Amino acid sequence: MDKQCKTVFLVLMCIALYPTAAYASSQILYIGYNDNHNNIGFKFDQSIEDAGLHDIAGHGAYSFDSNPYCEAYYRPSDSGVQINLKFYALSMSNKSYYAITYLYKGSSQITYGDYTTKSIPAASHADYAEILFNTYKFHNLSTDQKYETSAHEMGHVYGLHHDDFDKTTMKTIMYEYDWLYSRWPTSWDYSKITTLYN
Amino acid sequence: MKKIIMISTLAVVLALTGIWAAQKNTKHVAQSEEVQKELEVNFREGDTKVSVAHAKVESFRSLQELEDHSDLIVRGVKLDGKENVTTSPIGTIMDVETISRFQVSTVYKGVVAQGDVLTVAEPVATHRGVIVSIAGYKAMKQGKEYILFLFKAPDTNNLGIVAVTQGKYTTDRTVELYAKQEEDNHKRIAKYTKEVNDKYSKEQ
Repeated sequence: MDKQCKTVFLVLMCIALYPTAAYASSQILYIGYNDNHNNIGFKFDQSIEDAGLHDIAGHGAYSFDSNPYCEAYYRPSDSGVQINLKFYALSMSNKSYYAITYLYKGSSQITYGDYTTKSIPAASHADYAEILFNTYKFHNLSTDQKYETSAHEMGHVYGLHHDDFDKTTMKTIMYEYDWLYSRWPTSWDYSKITTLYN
Repeated sequence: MKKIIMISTLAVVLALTGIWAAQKNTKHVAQSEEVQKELEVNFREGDTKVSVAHAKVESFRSLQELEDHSDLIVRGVKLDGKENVTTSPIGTIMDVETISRFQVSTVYKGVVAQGDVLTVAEPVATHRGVIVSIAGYKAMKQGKEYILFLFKAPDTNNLGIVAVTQGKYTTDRTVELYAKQEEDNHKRIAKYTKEVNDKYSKEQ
C-alpha cells in the first residue's frame, strides 16, 4: 500500500468509526450485561433549583463516580442528549420519608417477568430513574444528612438495595433507617457495585 | 485505485452502521423521555404486580421514641379508602397515597374520641395496574383492626403514618409488609408488632 493510500485509509477509518464511538460512549443500556460501565445523564427539575437543592442533588449524582463502573454527567438541556435520571423536589407533608427513588424501564425493552427472572438485582435493569426529595421532611435534616441521603438515593439508581446490618461490622450508605454520618459511599458500597457489574 | 475503492466502500459501510446505531440509541432515549415506562416490580399480590419504591425514611430506635413523635395513637378499623396518584408531565410518579377512613375504637394518645372517623394517608396506591408501595408499606385491609401511630400534616386535612412502615400494626400480630422475611425491614416490623401488641393489648 503506497503512502497516499495509507493516508486515505486512515482518514476514512477515522470518519467511519466516529459515530460508532459516539454511540458507545452514550450507551447506558447496561448494566452488567453487554456494557461494563454506566453513563448516567442527569438533570434537575426547576423544583430542585427553587428548593435550593442544586448542590446536594449534584453531590448525589457524582457520589459513586470513584467506582470505575459508575459515571454521571450533568445534562442541563433536553435537546438530543440522554437523560437517565431526573431530580425533583416536592413537599409532601403527610409522608414521613426524606427522599425516594423510582426506577423505570422503557416498556418496549423488557417485560415485568424479566425483572424477576434475571439473576442480577431487578434495579440493575432500569434505564431511567427519578429521585424525589420530600422537602417537608428533608429540610429538617442536618446538612450532612442531606448530602448522605442524596448519595444514598444514587446508590439505588445504580442498583444497590437497603442494608441495615450491624454497623460495627460493616458500614454502608444504604441504611434505610440509620445514618452513616458520611457524605460518601463506603468501600463496602463500592465493592457491592463492582460485584453487580463485574 | 482498486484498493482505494475497496477501503472507501468499507469505510462508508462502517460509517452507515455507526450512524444507524447512534440513531437507534437516540430513538431509545426519546422513548425514555415519554410515558412508555414500567416500574421495577418486586412482589406480587395475587395477580397484581407490586413495585416497592426505595425510600430513605424517618425512623425511631424504640417504641418510646415512636410514641413521642406521634400526635395520635389509636386502635380501630379501616372503613374504606380512595387511591390518589400524582404524576409528572411525562407520566412518571410524583406521589402515591390511599386516603383511608379509619374508625377509632380506642384512643391511647391524642385528642380524638372513640367512634371518630379519621382520614389517614397511606403511602401506597395502584398505578396502571401496579401496586406502588413506598418502602414496602402495605395498605390496610377494609374491616380489619389496626393500631396506628399518626401525625398531623399541617397543610392537608388528613393524618400521616409515622415513619412509614413503623407506624401501622395489625392486632392479629401478622406482619403486613412488602419485604421478604429475611430482610431487615421485615425483622424490624415483626419485633415492633410484638412490642406494640404486648403493650397496647393490656391497655385496652
